[in-house]
Amino acid sequence: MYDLVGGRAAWTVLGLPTEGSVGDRRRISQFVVQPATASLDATIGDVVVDSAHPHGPVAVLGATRVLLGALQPTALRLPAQTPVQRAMQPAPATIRPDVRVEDVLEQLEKDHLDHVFVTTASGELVGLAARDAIHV
Amino acid sequence: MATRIDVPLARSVLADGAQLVDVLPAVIYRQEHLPGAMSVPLESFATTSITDHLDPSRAVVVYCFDQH
Repeated sequence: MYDLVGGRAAWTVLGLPTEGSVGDRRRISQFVVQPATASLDATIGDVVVDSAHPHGPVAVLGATRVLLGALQPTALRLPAQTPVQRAMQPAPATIRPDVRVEDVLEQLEKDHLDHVFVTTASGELVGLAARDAIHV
Repeated sequence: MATRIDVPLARSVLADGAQLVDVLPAVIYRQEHLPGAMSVPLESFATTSITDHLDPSRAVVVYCFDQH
């Protein structure tokens, strides 16, 4: 017999699916969009902005998709040879994928933010929770 | 005595055919549970044994809400 350490919460915090009358339908993991990404050793000229979300931040990822930083749209106007590592905002705020969508919207409004990155407890990028992309 | 395992290992054990048991209250189970889990609430242990619900030839993964 095995005992799952951390129980159901350890599962949902990874953004893994659940079932049931409520299930994971109200968790923010079901509402994220995929932001444009860049690697830490890239330059600004390497960054390809997603045309579907041209005003969102670019996620700077390390090995195993761990979120290391964010490039704000204004950083993309820097000279093409600028290293991403110098232009990024390190360690941006994140939330976990099991947070309820209503709580995320309330917090974004309270903090006057348009978006927040969603990562697992280990820091792997799940997606971007963007107010204009959440329709509840 | 149960062996404590993390989520990646649990997924591997489940992929190999283990049974998954949710011991949360039935009302909580109905709202949300892990895929494929069966409900055997802790409070039911007073009248039944967990083994009444399980195939003894297969491994079992048990979970609660968080730490327990």
